[in-house]
Amino acid sequence: MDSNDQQVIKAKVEQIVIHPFAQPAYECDLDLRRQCIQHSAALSLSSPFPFEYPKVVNIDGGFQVISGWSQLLYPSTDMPEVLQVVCISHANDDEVSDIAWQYLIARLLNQIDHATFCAQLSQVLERSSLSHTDIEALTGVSARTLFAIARKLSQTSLSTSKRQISRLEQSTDEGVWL
Amino acid sequence: MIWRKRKYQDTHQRKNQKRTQSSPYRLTRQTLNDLSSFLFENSDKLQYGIALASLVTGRTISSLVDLDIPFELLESGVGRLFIRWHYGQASSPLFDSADRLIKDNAAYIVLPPCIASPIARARERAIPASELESQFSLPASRKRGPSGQLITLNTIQHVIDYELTKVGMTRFERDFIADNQMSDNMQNFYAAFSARLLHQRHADFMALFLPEHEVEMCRQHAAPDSYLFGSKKALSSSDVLSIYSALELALGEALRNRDHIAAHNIYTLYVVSTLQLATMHRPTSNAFRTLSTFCNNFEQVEIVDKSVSSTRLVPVCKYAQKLLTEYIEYLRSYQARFQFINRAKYHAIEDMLSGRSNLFRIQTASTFLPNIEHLPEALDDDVFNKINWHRHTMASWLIINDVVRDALSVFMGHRQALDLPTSARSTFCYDQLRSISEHINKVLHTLGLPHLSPGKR
Repeated sequence: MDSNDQQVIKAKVEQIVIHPFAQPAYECDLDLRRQCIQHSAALSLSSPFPFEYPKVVNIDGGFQVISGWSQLLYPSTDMPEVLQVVCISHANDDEVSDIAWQYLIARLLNQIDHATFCAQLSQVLERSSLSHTDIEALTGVSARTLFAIARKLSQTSLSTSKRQISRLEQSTDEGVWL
Repeated sequence: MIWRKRKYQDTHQRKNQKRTQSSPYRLTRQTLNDLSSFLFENSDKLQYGIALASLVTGRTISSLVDLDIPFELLESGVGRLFIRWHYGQASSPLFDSADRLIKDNAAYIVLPPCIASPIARARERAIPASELESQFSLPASRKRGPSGQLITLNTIQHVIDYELTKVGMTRFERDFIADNQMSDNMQNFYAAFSARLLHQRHADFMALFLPEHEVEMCRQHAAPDSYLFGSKKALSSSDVLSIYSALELALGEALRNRDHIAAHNIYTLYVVSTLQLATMHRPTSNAFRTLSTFCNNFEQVEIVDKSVSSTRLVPVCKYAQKLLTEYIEYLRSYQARFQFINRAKYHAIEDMLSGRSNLFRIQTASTFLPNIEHLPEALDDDVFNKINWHRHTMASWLIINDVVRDALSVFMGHRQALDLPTSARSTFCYDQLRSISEHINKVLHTLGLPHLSPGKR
C-alpha cells in the first residue's frame, strides 16, 4: 500500500461501513467502550477521544473504514450527515486486519487508566490477529506472553491483574459487552 | 319446515344455553324437593335410580350407562364415574423433562351408593340408554310439580344448570360433572383445577337433594387435597423455572462465547415466553406482532393469536411492562452496534422499533428472520415457540387461586354464545381484566423467574 496515496474527502454517513476485515477490531472496541462506561466514571461521552478522521478505502462507491473509527463508536441522532474521511487508494484484506488491530491497540495505550485497564489490554491483545512479534514491535515491550506484555504496559502487579481479569469475566457473564 | 327448523336451530340452541335463574323452565324448590324425595325413595327401581343420578349429576342417561365411560363401584358402595373429556398432550425434549401439574389423568366424580347402585346394575345388564329413557315415566300425580311444571328427563337433567350457583359451583365445574361437551366452554381445555374442591362442591350440590348420610360417604371418598384434574400442558412453578433455567444457561454460554446472535435469540425467547405467561398469548410465529399492538404506554396489548375471532384487548401487568421496556432499550442499544457493520440488520431493528415489522424476530448470521417461527438448532425445542404451555399453566394457576373464571374466559379470548362483553346490558367491565392482570403480576413476582438480559443491568 502506498501510504502517500491518500486524500481527505467528504462522505455521506450512510455510505460508510466498517471494512469486514476490520470488524473484529471494531467490535472489540465496542465491547471496550461498554466496559469503560460500566467501570469508569471519568469517561466523558460527549468528547471521548481526540479528534481523528476515519481512514477508509473506497469500494464499489461505498467507504469501508479500516481505522480511525472513534467518531463512529458513538452514533447518535445529531451525527452530521456528511463526515470527512481519509480515503486511501487500496489495501488488501490482511493489511486491513493488521491496520485495524494496530489502531485499536495504539489507541488503547493512549487512553486513561481505569479499574480493569490491564485486563482489557490483555483481552485485546489476545483477541487481535497480530502476531506476538508484531505486538512487541508495536508496543515496544518484550515478554513471553501477551498477558505479561499487558502487565508491563499497565505496570500492574500479578495479583491485581488477576483480580481485574476475574472482575472483567464476571462483567462479561452479566452481559455488559453488548 | 325442515329448512325453518335448521334456520332457527342455532338461535334456539343459544337461547337454551342461557339458563338464567329466572327462567320459567326452572323447577321450583318445592317441585325439586318433592321430585328428589320421590326418586330417592324409589331408587331401587332402575328408571328412578337412574333419573336421580341424572338429577344430581346433570348427565344424560347415555352418559351414565355408556360402557365406554369407565365406572367403578367401590366396596363402600360409592361409585366413581369417569369423564369423556380428552386433554391434549404435547411433547418436546425440554417439555417432557418437566413434571406436569397433572400426574394422573383419571378424572372422575364420586357418586353415593343410592346412585352408584342403579348405575352399576344398568351397566351390568347393558341396558341401552334409549330403553331406560323410554321406561322412564313418573306416576300421573307427579308428572307435574306443585306449580304445574311438567317434569321430564330433560328438565331433570338440566336442574344442575339452574341450581349450581346455590353451592358456589362454577359452570366449568358443572360442565365437568355433567360431562357436557368440552367445547361448550373453551376454558375447559386449559384448566387444571382442584379435584377435591370439585368433589366438595358436587357433594354440596347433591346434599340439596339427597340425605346427608349418603352425601357424607361421597365426602369421605373425595380426592386428596393436592390432587388436580384437567390440562396436561399446565406446569408447576418448578417446571416453569426449569424451562427458564435452560434459557439462563444458554444465555450465560452465549455471553461467555461473545455470541451476540445467540444471546439475542435467547433473550427474545425469554421475553416472548414471559409476555405469553403474562397475557396468556397462544404460541404463534408472529407473537405480539408489532410494537404498535401495545398501547397506552405498554399497559395494554391487542392480541390476535388464532383467527380474527381471537382478537382481544388485555391489560399488561407491571412485571411484563418492565420487561418489555427493557427489551426495547436493549434493541436500541443493539441497533447502534450495527450502524456501521451491517446496514440490513440496522434497518431490520429500526423496523422492529418503528412497528413496521414484528417486534420479536430471530436473528441469523446474515439477517433477522421475519418472526420467531424458525429457531436456531441450539434452541430448537417446541417448548419455546409451539407448545401452548403458557396459557394452560397461567390459566390453571389462576383457577387454583380462585380468580373469577368468567372474567378469565374474557381475558383468554373465549367467547360464549350471546356473550357480548361490550354490550350495554353486559355486567362485565374492563376492571375485571385488570384484576386478573394484577393476579398475574403477583404470580410472576412470587414465581422468581431469573432476570435475563444480554445488556447492562
